[in-house]
Amino acid sequence: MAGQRFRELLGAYSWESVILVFNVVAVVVATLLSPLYLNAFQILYSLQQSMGIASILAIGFMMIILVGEIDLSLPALVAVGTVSFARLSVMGLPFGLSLLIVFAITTLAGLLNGYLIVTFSLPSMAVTLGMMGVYRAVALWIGGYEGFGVDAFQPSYIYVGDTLLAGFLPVSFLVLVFLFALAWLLVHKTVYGRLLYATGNNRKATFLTGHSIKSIIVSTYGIGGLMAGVGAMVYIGQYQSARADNVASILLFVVACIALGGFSLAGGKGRVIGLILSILLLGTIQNGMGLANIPGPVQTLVIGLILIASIVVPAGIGAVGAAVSRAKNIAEKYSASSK
Amino acid sequence: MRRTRVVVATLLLAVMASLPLFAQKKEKLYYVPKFTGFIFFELAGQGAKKACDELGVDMVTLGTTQNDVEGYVQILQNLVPQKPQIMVTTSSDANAPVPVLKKMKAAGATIVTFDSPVGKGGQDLYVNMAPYRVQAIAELESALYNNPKGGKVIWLAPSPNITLFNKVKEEIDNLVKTVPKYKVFQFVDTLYMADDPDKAYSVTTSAMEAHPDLAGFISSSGMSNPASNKAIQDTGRTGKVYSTGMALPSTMETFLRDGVNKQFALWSPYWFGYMSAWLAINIHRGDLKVQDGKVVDVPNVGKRKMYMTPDEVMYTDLNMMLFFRKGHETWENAIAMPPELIQ
Repeated sequence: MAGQRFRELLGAYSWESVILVFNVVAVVVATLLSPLYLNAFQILYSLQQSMGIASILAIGFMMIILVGEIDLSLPALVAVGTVSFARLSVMGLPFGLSLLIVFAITTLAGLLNGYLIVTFSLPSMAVTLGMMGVYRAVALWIGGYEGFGVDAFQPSYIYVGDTLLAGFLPVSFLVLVFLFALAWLLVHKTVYGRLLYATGNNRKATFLTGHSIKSIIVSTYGIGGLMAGVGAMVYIGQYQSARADNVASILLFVVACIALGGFSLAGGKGRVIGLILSILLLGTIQNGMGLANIPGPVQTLVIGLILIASIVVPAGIGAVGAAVSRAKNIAEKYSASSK
Repeated sequence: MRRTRVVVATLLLAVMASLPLFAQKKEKLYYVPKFTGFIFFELAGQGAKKACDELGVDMVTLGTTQNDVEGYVQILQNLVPQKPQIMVTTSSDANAPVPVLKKMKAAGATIVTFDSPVGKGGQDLYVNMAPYRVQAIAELESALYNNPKGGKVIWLAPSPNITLFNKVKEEIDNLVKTVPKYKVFQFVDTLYMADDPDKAYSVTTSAMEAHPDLAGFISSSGMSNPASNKAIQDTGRTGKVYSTGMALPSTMETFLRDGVNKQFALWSPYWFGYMSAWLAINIHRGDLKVQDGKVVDVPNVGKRKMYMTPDEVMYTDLNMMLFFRKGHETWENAIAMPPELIQ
């Protein structure tokens, strides 16, 4: 009975299981590569530092991907957020007020992306590519050429991204856990979440059930924008720098997390747990190779190969499954005809 | 009871036996450039290696494959648990690596930066290529050598927020305003090429279309100059437009030969790396104190002064500026910049 249940679970979560196995392998390899790896504090700190901001953006990205759209401007929005925080801090505003202002700015900017896409039926790739340039320019306008350094920030501004509770627990990690819990509830336990999948899978059918596709899509962009704001809050604490080119090269990495997490760029597919596992996997690999002082080009190569594997392995499993069932069919037919 | 004692004794023996292994461990210098695979940082790495070999230190080179600040900081973060003792590094963002560099310093690391400094508290000493004014003079002199009439020029930089480029440009503006022979230059624009040769090529090509009377480009970027010289050559503007400033000789040889460029300048990356590593190792060993106004005699380089800047970063200068011309295309036969030019 237990075996049956286990097999059902494995069937339903086949991709997540593959990633889980990859994770175990990665931990073993990282432990073998460097004696410094296997240390809970080291792992927690390193994962948070290297993956924290990418994870927050990935949550926003996931919502947008689920409805079958994309937003390339999210990293640029993070930069708008960081320089806005810095500018407001220099102006002497209390952090709480700045938080509201920045979150409002980035959320509205996200909503604007969505609005442009649904109102004019434009391809999201093109719109957000354009908006990426616009938001980078806005960030440059707010932040100036030099940007801001540590002196710009009041201590309250860098608290979230810089503080280790009890000397080991990053505050930003708690923020991340909270966000993932929220995302899980939203995506898997609410009607709204069901509608995201429905929109991603079949817009016409979703529309015919009496739901506004447009407002669903726009709302996901709003969440994306909000996450960019949260990412900016963590960024200023972690790097104590705010410049128009912040997180300039994070986009591909976020897309990698999403793709490896089992999401389809066409929408309607993937789970929060898959995203968490893929982030853990990429973080572990980078951490392990980094501690072993493996040169940059090799690290890039390994990450690239894993991404390719993430496409080939499921395709391979699918092909094998299809071949097996075909063989079964033939065998059944043969045995039926021989009777 | 007896068994416990045997176990304890064995353990103690094992620990003692392994002690010499630790004691014999050589010091390690981590060389972490902005990114790897770029000839300038490779040459600087070779220079650093020479200093390491001379002083009996192992060197480990680490770096991202592209100019990516967060990736660079991540490499530093992965170094923290390894408790690095000596590090020579350079970042394209002055602020982002400071929190993690401070962490390393708190754990006893000696950090020497070169090529571009980080914010205060992030390094023990910054090795500057040359005072910004000297660099500015080297670039303007090279432009005058290309075209004594000066004329309308465009300033090229990788991005708006790199301290080095902004400071050199400030000095250039000062010199053009105050020194009579530089008054022939008129800066009409500043363009950014993101350290990307393709972008530099297209940006300079369109700039030459937009400014038909343009005399030349001036840049501190070794990445952009070969691309802009190629753009000049490809669009048939050899002799009409020049592009000069700083560049790597290996990337400019053909342009010197074909007369596209008559002179450009650069400091020696090899001795840059050498000096940085030599200083880092000696500071770490306690053989050298970092002190405002102190003069250090660096082998192969010469006597150099340490000085504190207003942004509270301790500087010293490599100050080995070289001019490259036809017949003087290599590190070996380049012409040292005449000291009387520096005023």
